[in-house]
Amino acid sequence: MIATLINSIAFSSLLILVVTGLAVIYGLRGVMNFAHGALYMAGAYLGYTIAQVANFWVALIAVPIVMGLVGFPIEFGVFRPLRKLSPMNIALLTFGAALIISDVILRIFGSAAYTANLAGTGLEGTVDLWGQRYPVYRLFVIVVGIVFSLALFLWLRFSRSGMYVRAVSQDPQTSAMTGINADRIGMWIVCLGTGCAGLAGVLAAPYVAVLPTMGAQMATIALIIVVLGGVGSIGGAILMAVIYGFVTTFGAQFLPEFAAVVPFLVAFLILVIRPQGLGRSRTT
Amino acid sequence: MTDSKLTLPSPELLTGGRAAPRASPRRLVAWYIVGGVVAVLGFLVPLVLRNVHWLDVLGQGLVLGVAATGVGILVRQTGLVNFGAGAVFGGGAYLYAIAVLQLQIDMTLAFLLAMVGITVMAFLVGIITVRTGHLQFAILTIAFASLLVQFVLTQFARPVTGAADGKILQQTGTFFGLSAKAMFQASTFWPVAWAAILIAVAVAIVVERSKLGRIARAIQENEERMLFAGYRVLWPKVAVFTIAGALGGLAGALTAMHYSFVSPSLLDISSGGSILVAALVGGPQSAFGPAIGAILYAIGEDAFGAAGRADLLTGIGIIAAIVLLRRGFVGLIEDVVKLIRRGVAKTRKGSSRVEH
Repeated sequence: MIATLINSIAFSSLLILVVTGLAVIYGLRGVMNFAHGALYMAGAYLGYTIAQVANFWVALIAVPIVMGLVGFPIEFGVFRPLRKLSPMNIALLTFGAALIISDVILRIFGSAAYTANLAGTGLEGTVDLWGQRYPVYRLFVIVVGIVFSLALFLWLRFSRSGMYVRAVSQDPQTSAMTGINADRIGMWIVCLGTGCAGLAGVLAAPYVAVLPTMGAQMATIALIIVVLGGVGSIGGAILMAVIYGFVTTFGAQFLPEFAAVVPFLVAFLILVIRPQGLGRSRTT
Repeated sequence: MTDSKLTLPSPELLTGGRAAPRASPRRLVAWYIVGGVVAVLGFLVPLVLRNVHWLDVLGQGLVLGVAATGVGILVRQTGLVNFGAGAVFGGGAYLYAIAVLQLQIDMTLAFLLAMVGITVMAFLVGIITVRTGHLQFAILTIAFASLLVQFVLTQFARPVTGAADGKILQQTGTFFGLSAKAMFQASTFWPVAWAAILIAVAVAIVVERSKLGRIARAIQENEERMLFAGYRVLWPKVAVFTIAGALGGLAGALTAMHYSFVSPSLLDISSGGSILVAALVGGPQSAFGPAIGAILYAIGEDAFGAAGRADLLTGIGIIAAIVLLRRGFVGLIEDVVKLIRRGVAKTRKGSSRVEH
């Protein structure tokens, strides 16, 4: 029971990292990035490769930076030149990009499942947790998740740039009128978002099976979470990520037959009651 | 109810008179004749095209086209983009398989049951999904397709669905006089696939011209305006979604019938993606665009799919359709025709000026 509880928190931490990136990019750029799962997968494969040739700690530092830099070409090569397209068309574009990225990764790494090497990091093995052996690494994932969420909260709530981000997410036009340079903030937010996806990917690499299907799977989950949390609401997305993590993990424990189906059913149930999602979503 | 209906302004009035483009009667008759001739000639393709492989590829393209026409109808009438059309495509296939295997009924009856089942399913899913925004709708269609895939894979459903292995069907009886064996053969399957695509395109045209289509397009343009004008905005969208879903189910049931086999890959995002890209590449703004796109996609898939890279083709197709062919293949043809016409008109004008 305690193990399941902690597993839920670990999985939720991972989901928080992914959906935050998705939610901030939507908030600032109005783009529903269907390729976010593919970026997460790219982060996982990159992390696996670096952990293989160097060390997992190196991967943990390098991957978010590299994936964050990927944000620049995405911002300047895709989002800015194509901003006249409708949000739906850009979503379709990212969907197509996700399929291409998956195919490329499948060609490079094949369809075998990998797990990143934790040897020599001090994160392998288990600890005694109230009489149960529990993997150290999952506790580490939880710590990263909590630190990340806290840092995000403090930044958004108490810094000037965080306030700008909240303002642009809520109402891009009015905030632009007050002199906020939405473009410049948007550029950094896109990098932050792709970096988050990379961090989630590298964190997942020793934890889940690194497979060419993991991207589409995570994209589906993350997109559902964002819809349920209320599109455009960062807090709603994080809240839903936690709920989703718990429902999935406890579902796997107590209803193993239907573990994969339960979260989808819960999602549809929520939407029957509240079509706009649980959080306070942007009105546009 | 009827009283309030009388006072409703027409959807055309609410959209500034921009309704379905109506051709002049004479031109309309010409189009009917051309359409009728193409429709009849299409049945005769197997007599001309002797290559079994290509006949098979094109036949699959037609079936894909039926589902893509459904996706196209939804885009054109409501602006909603269905990423998870695999749900109704695979859903139709699985319902047909379940009817054949569990109820042990003959092909025609199983087909009818599957069609009723998929229509009901599409209706119920539509009620939940079309109420949300466009992006949310797109995501929910993926979610629903994933839900079905996961459900099919559960141990609970395994005896009926065969889980990841799929199920081989032992079909009995006939479908329009065709046995399971004849349905498998490319040359005898062709007329069925051709009839299906004719039905799909006819449905697309009828919906376009019906009051339902006009109301749905007016809602697409401005939902609030229609709401204030006294229209119900939910049911027209649900109705269009249901019609589109039924076409997807028709394509799926025919696929199951053709191969005597169902597997979870019929339901998944790749399946939905190929249907979507067919609609986009062909041009969802025209009734027969998705069908043409599907045939193009099937030809492409013949090359890419053999290398196991169908997803790559889908990805490239979507991006090309969005960035290069904004209105799809049909739009491209229309533009070319327009250019040629303008050129012809210019030269005529030029020559007449010379005569003066």
